[in-house]
Amino acid sequence: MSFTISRRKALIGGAYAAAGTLVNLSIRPAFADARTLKIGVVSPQTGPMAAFAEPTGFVIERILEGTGGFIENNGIRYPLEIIERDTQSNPNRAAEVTQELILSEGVDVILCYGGPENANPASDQCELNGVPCLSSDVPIEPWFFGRNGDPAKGFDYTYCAFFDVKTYAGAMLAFMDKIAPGGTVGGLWPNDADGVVLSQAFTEGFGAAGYTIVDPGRFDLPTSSFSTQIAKFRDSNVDIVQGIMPPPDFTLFWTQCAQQGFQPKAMIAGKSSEYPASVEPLGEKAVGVSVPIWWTPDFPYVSSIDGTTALETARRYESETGRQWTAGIGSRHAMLEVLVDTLRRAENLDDPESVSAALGATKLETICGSIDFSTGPVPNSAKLGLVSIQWVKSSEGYAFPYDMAVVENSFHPAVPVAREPFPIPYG
Amino acid sequence: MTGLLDQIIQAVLLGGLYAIFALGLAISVGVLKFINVAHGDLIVAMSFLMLTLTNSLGLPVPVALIVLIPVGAGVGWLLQFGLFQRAASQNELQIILITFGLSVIIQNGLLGLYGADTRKVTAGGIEMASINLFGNINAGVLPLIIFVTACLLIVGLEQILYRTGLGIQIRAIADAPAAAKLVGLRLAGLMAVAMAMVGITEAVSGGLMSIWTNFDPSSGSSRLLIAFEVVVLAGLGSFWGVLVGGIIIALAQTFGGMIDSAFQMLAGHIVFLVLFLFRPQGLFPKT
Repeated sequence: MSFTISRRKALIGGAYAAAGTLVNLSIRPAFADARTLKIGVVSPQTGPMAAFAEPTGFVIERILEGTGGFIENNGIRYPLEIIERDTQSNPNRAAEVTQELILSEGVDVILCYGGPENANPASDQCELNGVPCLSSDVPIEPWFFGRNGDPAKGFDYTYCAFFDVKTYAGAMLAFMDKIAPGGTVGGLWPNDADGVVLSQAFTEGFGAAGYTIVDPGRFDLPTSSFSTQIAKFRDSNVDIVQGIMPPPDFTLFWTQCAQQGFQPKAMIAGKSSEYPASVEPLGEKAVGVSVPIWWTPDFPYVSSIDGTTALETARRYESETGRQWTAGIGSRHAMLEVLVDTLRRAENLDDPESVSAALGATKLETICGSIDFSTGPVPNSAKLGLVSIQWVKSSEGYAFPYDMAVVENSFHPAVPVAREPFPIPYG
Repeated sequence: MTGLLDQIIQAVLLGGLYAIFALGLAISVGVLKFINVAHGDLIVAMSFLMLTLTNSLGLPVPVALIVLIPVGAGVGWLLQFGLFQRAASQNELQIILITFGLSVIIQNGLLGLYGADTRKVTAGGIEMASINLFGNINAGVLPLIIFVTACLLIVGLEQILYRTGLGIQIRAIADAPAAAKLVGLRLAGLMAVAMAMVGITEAVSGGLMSIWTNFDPSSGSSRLLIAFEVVVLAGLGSFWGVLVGGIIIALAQTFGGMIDSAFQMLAGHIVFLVLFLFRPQGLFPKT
């Protein structure tokens, strides 16, 4: 969708470049030879993970606007093109489109995102083909260990900037300590990479923190009923439910909880309640649902490209698309900032190894906070902070019925807290 | 103890959903004598139509369901009259291959029209509503509606096929087409009427399923599997058997899930296979 726009911009850019060459021929002799730099974006535009991809088109436009469609490297201005391809939320297709971006489009760097299903196969293709690649919106461990990464060696071309499991668990623990300290936690962990990692994190780590863990076992998605899990939670007097499932499955679970009269104090719904579009079908039932999140418009940071604040970016998204902001705006924006910065700094743009080295050396203050690949728990990874939010009714004058309120910030203290954590109100 | 009872009630209600899903297949296998591989996809197509009616046209859910029923009947009638009947006159294998092709066409058509997204129809609160039965046992209003609808459809089908002249004619052409022709029954027309009934069950189950759970263009085949198991468990021609079959599969899944969520789907299939080994003719065969 943004393909035509980016191409048009690139063409306009190309025209400027041509004009510039004629005027400044003596000053910049290499100018006429500047090839187009291409960023490929591997994006789950359709399928169960489509909510991730919603803001990508908008962010690509913002980046092209902010950079003017050019990247300057060593005094040479290169036209910039950003190409988005749809994975249909399917791992095989993700590998296919990545290959296509590398082999047919000849992209210089790749951004992939949206859970291990999308980011891992795309990253594997980049590693195989020697193309620098940045992953996001996938927790670091499922990305690293899901691809059989060796912590002693790391990867040559692929990087990941997102939160790690420890931060995620810590942020949830900090939230739980304020809602039901030492209570019982029920786990909805499906039989996929995220579910397996989280079940281990909970059963191994949270027991020690004084919580009782109720784990009904890994299950396959999609399922037509959650009533066995709900019964188990109710029988064990579960205070807090933690789940990591795509939005439609969470909707089904939360609907069945209401039908079967199960009312936990808190519901931490990962992979779904980060997105306004996925809590909207819940209506009133959305109030109180919580999730750790990596970006909100309250983040006190600005874009490294044009200085726009987080809040301005979110409001602009809302007025341009008519849809509510999502955390993906922040991470997508930050990742493209990193890639633009990398292409600006790379010593030799025609050598993927040099570009990869520049990407690995990133130290950038983005709209999402600081990104630095020496901060992660494993090589090639940069850790992002997290805050816990709860869905609340919006304040008056805001165009959307529900909004996120930051309730806990131990793992990203720079972000201001809007209110204290509260148990889910059942009326 | 109440926990177990609660699980059984939830499973019985889920069985209603499985039964409603399998009813159409029971008619095509038991009466029309062919296996409709596209059955699941036709239901998913109805779910998508429901989505269009409610989301894009803004019809209230009950109205959309009522609109869906004649559409389903029409689609069934046209399919039988225009496609299946011609194939059936060739040989038995041909018609299965044709439904296979139809299944592929429907899946890809939906993929092209609606994209690969997983969808769900929201019915404004009714899917959240529940009734307290007794103690701390609750049943959702929507599962109850689905269960009652399944019972009503079964009663209706039994009445039509076993109590009316039309039903006798349909069963006559199913049992002995040559003899039925000899006494002057119009084969093609009657088969089309039977398929229209299948279409109605597909419309109702597609419409209700779109509110109960998620669907995407490729979810038809997983539903076909459950429908198949239910029909085979029930035995040919028995509609109440379909309800019992659905409940057995749902109970098996629930008890499997109580041991470990990983066993949920597996337990349903295992129980099916075990019962199939001991009663290959099904539990309540009528023919």
